[in-house]
Amino acid sequence: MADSVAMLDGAPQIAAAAPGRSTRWDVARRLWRHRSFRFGLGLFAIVIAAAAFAPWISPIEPNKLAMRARFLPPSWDHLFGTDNFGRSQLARVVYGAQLSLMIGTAVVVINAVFGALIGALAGYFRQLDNMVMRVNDAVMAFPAVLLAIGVAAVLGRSTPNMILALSVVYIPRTARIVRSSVIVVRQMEYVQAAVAAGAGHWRILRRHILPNSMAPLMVQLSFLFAYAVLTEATLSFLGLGAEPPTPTWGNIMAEGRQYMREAPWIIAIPGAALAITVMALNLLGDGLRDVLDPRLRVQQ
Amino acid sequence: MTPLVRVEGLTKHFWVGGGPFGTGQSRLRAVDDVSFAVAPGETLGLVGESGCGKTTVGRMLLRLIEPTKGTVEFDGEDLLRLPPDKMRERRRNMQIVFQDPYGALNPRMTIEDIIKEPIEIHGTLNAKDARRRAGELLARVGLAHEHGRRYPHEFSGGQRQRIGIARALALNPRFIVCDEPVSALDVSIQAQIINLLQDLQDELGLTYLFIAHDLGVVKHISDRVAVMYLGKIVEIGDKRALYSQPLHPYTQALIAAVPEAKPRAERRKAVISGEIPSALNPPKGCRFHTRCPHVMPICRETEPPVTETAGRHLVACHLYPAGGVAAA
Repeated sequence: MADSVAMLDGAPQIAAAAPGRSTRWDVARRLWRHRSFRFGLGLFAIVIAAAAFAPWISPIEPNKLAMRARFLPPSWDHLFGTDNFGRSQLARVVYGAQLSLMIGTAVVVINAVFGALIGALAGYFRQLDNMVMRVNDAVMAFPAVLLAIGVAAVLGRSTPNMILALSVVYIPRTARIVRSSVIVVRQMEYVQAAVAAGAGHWRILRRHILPNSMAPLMVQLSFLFAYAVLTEATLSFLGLGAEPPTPTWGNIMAEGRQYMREAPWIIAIPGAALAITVMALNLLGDGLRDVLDPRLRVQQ
Repeated sequence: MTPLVRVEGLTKHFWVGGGPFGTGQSRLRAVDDVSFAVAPGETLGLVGESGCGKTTVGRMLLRLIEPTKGTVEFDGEDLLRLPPDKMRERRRNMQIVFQDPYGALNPRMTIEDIIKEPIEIHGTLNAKDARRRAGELLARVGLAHEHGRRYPHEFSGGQRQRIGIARALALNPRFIVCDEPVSALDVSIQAQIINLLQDLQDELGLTYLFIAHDLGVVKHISDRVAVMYLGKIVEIGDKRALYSQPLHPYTQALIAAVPEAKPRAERRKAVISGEIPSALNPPKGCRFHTRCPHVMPICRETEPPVTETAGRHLVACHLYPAGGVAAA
C-alpha cells in the first residue's frame, strides 16, 4: 500500500504548458478520444455512483448486527457476504466509499488552493523561494505515510484531523510542482510584456502565470486523489482513521485480516474497491497528462 | 535637439553559478558602461552577435531588468530613480515588441484581451472604448476586427508579430524598443513587418531602438547604428557613414559578412576568426583584441577610449587616437 505512494516523492518536473494551447473544447475532445482516460472516467463514475446511492444500493444499515448471519460468503441475499458480526459487507463497502471520496475530495481541494498558492509565491517571488522550498524539503524528507501517521497520532482520530494530516503531507509536493511550472512561465515574453505595460504582481500572477501553469497541477491533483485515498486506507488499517464501527475500507480490512482464511471476502472486497478506485484515478491522470502535458508522455 | 532617451554608463552584471548561499559565484558582465542617446523620431539600430548584451540593454531601458549602474533618462527624467508607482505611470510612453512571436502572446487570452490589457491597467478608456480601440489597432496593423475573438495559436508568426505591435501601440507610446522583431520570421514576412514599423513611425512620430543581429535589416530601418561587442558599444554613427566607412575592425568584419545580391561583386575580405570570448572573463584591454586583424600591443593592455571622428561618428579603437582621424 505504502510503496506506490513513494512515487509521488520523485515528483516529475513537469514543464509548463506549451504555447499554442488549444481551446477548452478541443482539450475535452482529445480527452474523450483517449481510451484509458475514458476507461478510468467510467470506473471512477461507478465508484462515485456507489457512494452517492449507498442507501439505495444497500437498504441494510452498515452497522446493523445479525449474529445469526455471521461469515456468510457472497450470495444473492448478501452480495458481498457478511463479516464477523453479520453486518452486510455491501453496505459497509459503499458507505466506506463515501468517506474515502469525501476525504480525497477535501485533500485535493485544500492542496489545489494552498499548494498552488505556496508554489506560485515561491516561484514568482524568488526572494521567498529559498526559504519556502527548504521548509518544503524538510517536510518532504519524511516518508509520506510515516509523516501522516505522526500527524494523525498527534491530532487524534477524527475525519477533519485525517484530512489535515494528509494535507500537511501532500501540500509541499503539490507546491513543488506548481513552483517549477511557474518558474518556466514567469520568464515567458508575455509576462515581460505585462510588466512593460505596467501590470502589478497580482495581475501578472492571476492573468498570466497561473492560467498557464495549471496543466501540471491538474495532472498532479488527479494522482493526488488516488494517493489520498490510499493513505487514508493505510492509516485507518493501522487504527488511526475513523473510529469503528464507522466503516472505512481500511478498518474493514483490518478487522477482516483475522479471518482471512475462513472468510477471505471480508478483506478482499474492500481491497478490490480500493484497487479499482486508485486504478481509475491513475488512468484518469495518465489521460490528463497525455493531453495537457504531451511532452511527458512515455513512448510506447 | 534634446534626446528623448539618453543612456549614461549603463552596466549590468549578473551573478551566476555558485553554491546554495551565494558562494563561489562569478560575475557575468553582460553590459559594461554603455552610453548613447536617441533623438525624437529617430531610429537607432543596435547590432551585435548573440550574447553581446543588446537585448539586456533594451530591457534595461524599460526597467524590465534593473541595471547595476548607470542612468536611463527619458524625456529628461531619470527613470531609475522613480518609485514603482511613478514608473508604472511612465510605462505608458515606452513599449516593447519582442522577438519570439510565439512566446510573446499569452496563449490563454483572446487577441482582443491581449491588446486591451495595457489600456485596462492604465484605465485610459472605459470598457466600450477599449474594445473599439482594440479593433482600430487590429485594423491599423493589417488584421481584421473579428480576429480579436480568436486565440494566439490560430495565427501565423507574422500575424502574431502584428498583434504584438498592436499591443505595444495601445497606449500611444512615444518610444518602442523593437527587440529583434523580425529575426524569427520568414524573409518575405520580415519586409512586411519592417514596412509596417516604418509606416507607424511616420504616422505616429515614434522613436525606435531597433535591436537586431542582422546588419541588412538594420540598414533599412535605422537612422543611426550602434555596434555592440561583448557588452560594449564599439562604434556608433550615422547609418551612411557607418556602412560606407566602417571604422572599427569588428564593424568592418560584420559589414563584409552581409550577403549581397551581386555574387561577382568585388568585396573587401575582412574575416574574423574564433569565437566570441566569455563575458564571465572578458579579455583585458580592448575586448576585441583576441580576434582583431589589426591588433597592436597597446590593445592587449589598455581599453581604447571613445573617439569622435567626423560628424557624431564615435568609435572605441586604438587605431583612431583622439583627434587623429577626423578626416578618415
